[in-house]
Amino acid sequence: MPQKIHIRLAAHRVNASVAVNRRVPKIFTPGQVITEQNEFMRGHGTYEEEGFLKSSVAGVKEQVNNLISIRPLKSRYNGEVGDVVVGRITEVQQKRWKVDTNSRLDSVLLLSSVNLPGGELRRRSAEDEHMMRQYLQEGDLISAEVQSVFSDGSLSLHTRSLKYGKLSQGVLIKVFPSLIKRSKTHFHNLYVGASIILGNNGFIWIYPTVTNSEDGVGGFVQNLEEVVSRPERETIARLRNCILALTQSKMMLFDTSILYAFEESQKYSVPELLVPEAMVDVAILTQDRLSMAENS
Amino acid sequence: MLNKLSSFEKEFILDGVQKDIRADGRSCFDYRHLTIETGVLSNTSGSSRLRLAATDVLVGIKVELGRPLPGQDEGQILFSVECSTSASPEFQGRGGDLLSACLTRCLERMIANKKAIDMNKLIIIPEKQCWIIYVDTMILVNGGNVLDAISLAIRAALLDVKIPEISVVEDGDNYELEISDNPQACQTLDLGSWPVLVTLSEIGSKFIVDASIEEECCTVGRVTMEVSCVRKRLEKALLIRPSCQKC
Repeated sequence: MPQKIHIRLAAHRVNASVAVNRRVPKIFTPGQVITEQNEFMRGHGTYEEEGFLKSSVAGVKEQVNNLISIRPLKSRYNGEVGDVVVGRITEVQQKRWKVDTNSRLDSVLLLSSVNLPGGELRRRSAEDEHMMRQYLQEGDLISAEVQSVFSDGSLSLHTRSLKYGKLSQGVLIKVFPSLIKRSKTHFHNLYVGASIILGNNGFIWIYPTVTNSEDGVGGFVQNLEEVVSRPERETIARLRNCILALTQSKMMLFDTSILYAFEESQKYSVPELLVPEAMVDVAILTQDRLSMAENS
Repeated sequence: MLNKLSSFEKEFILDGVQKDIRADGRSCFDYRHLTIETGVLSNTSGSSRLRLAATDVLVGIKVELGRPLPGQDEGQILFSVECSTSASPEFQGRGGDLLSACLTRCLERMIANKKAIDMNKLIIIPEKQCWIIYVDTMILVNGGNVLDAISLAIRAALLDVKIPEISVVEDGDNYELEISDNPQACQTLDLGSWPVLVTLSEIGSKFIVDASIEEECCTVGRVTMEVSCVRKRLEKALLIRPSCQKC
């Protein structure tokens, strides 16, 4: 059963940049001169040297009146109150869990910020502390919301809603946090047969749509035995490859762009989407559809 | 492995492999996309850089003159693998030493295959002078399946090696080696057929090729096959030597 293995020279690699309205966005690199005039104010990501305004990070320019700042492409996640994040438990401590959310410091999930079985207003007893590991262990994935930001920049999370909690079977993708577009809702049930959580911290969770919802349990008790069928797996794999194609071309990720990419990728089989040409093709077609939708 | 997965993610990967559809849509025997380039390091005799999706390895080869080991009439090939501290959080400080030692041992076992690699071709003056090849590998990013990537990169770098032409001047008992000054006068290394390693990872009851880093967390055991192509009187034969590892 001969398998095709794709090997190519690095010199023949594909250019992944996608033109928006026939212009390729200009990316500034650290040390590059932005402008020579002195009347601009310096924002984040810039510094002044010898009368020139230079960039200190790799990113795109944002200009508001006469304030110039550079938004970095790849950075650690800076949390804000109200953001939806997907995180992985790294430690179980006395009354809290430490969660890795791709930020500079691990975020904190307090025991008092989670929904325990037995109702909302249950008092946290000493037994709950001992049972912490039974609710969330090291390595578990959760979806949560940022409740507050500590003075050192670390985040305090909460899962005080039925839509947050431990995540069951699915696929996790890590992208740059700057590529996730802020929108009203980050939980999407796509019509193609899978659901997606776009965490603001760059962690994207794709999972099969659950048809039955258990209420009152707060999302901590799940069935390890549920089986994901083959067509659902193909949908999830295709969504994963489409998201990686959009990420490679540095396009913003939101439910519409992902759905357009999914539809445009139907002409390739799922493993073919891992080839760079296919990824760039899908990204260009998605950008065309987005521009058409904007202009109409 | 520091990269821990939740029990649900492991269950998803396990079930997917049994159904022959992995997380990225590949079947059990599909490789990811490979990109390769040679001649990247100017201060070496040969070098290569290989990218296998996320995995990134860099190989530099230096060729020097030296004495062969006593009793053996062949050259030497010395491997060293280094894990860059930025490749993975677990490689901080001395964390990468265990993986480096394990990979170096695997590579040393690879050259014990006398039928594929002919070390006698490295001899210049029998028992006095031979070529010693230093193969240094650095793992820049660990995205799974590092051993296969290293073996492919080493093969590419060895094919890129240029050694200067040497002529031996005999003077009774004394030998003198004349190394050509002309940078164009060099020859490529001929070692026979250098093998390539293929690692099969066991997940559940099935084997997969080219495991990603999440799939490596779910592996129970690994078998590495050394595959080389030996030409004997116009016949091609495939020699496979397995080495098993229980994780």
